[in-house]
Amino acid sequence: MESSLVTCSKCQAILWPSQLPTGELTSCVSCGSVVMVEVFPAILHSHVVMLPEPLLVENESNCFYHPTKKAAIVCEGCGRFLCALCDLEVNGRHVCPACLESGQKKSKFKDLENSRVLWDRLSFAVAVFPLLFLWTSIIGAPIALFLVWRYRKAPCSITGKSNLSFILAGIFAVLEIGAWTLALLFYLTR
Amino acid sequence: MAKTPNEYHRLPGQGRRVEGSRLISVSRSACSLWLGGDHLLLVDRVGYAETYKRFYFRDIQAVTIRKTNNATTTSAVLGLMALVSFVWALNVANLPGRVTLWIIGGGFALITLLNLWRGPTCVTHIKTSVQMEQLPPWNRLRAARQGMGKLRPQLIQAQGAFSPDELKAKLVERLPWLSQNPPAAST
Repeated sequence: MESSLVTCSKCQAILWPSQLPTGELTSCVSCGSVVMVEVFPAILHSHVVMLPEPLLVENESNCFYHPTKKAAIVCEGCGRFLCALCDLEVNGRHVCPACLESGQKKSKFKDLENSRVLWDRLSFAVAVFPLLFLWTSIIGAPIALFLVWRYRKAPCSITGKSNLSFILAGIFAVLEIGAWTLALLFYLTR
Repeated sequence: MAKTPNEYHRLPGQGRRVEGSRLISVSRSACSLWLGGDHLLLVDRVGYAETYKRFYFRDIQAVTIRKTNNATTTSAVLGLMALVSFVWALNVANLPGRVTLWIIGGGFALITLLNLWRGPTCVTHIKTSVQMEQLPPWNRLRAARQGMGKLRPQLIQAQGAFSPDELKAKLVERLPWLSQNPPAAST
């Protein structure tokens, strides 16, 4: 379907330009749903597909991945010559598919990161929730302490929350282990 | 060490991504929306893991907000349950039973009032040239309007300002058949 068309989210019918007042509720002519649509200038943009240029002269610099295509840019990661097809722009940097893949694995490109495990919250939960059953904290506290130590440098949520959960999880785990040690010593020396 | 400034600012609204049919649905994840430097970030949190979807300001073509009747239906059902509990409490003779029903009825009444206070519900979608994605956090008209109030200036800054009429004219210029009258509503 044409990308410039806005459709009703219920019946998928086209919302005609006469129905696209900015910021006002209107009815879909097809299903009668009350909709509010805001359209932005990007709707007028058309996709320009960059095709690599073929080599004109035999000795001309060619793409590392496509030897028959003319090099257009240098990869900022590995320095390989790339054609327009292989050039990937991330955060203003031009990289090749291989560098992009390795960068994604090493979390070098924050904008490409699409998931994270919240080790800070998990450690906190493992430290605190077993306290509800008291005796389960014998297992929970050492696991929480291990998680805090193992993932202390792991990033928290991308939205920039602090690592307070890590600190609290560590404090809780140490206190629980201390309490259990004291309880055990008291039991043994009684 | 200097503290790095928070890159994201939270937008109003919170919701859950629900899957399933109208009768049986399961909440899959808790969602929130964040405003970044050059993009809108949709965060889906399932347990202790987050997944992220980015919508760059330059790519956002449209935002559609469709009003739904969920809030009205929920309020009617909960209000009815509160009423039934109160009427039942009046007909119960023993005190503990009456108090229990008053508490249950009060709970239903409180949730109904909270639901009414949150306002009408809606379903919001964001459109780019290659996708149409639902934004679960904007499931209330008030939150969606407030969120759009914060998102709009960023989109205008990234894409330039166009008056709605100008935009409509350009759209018709691009797709002339849109200048025809829309088809009549189906009954």
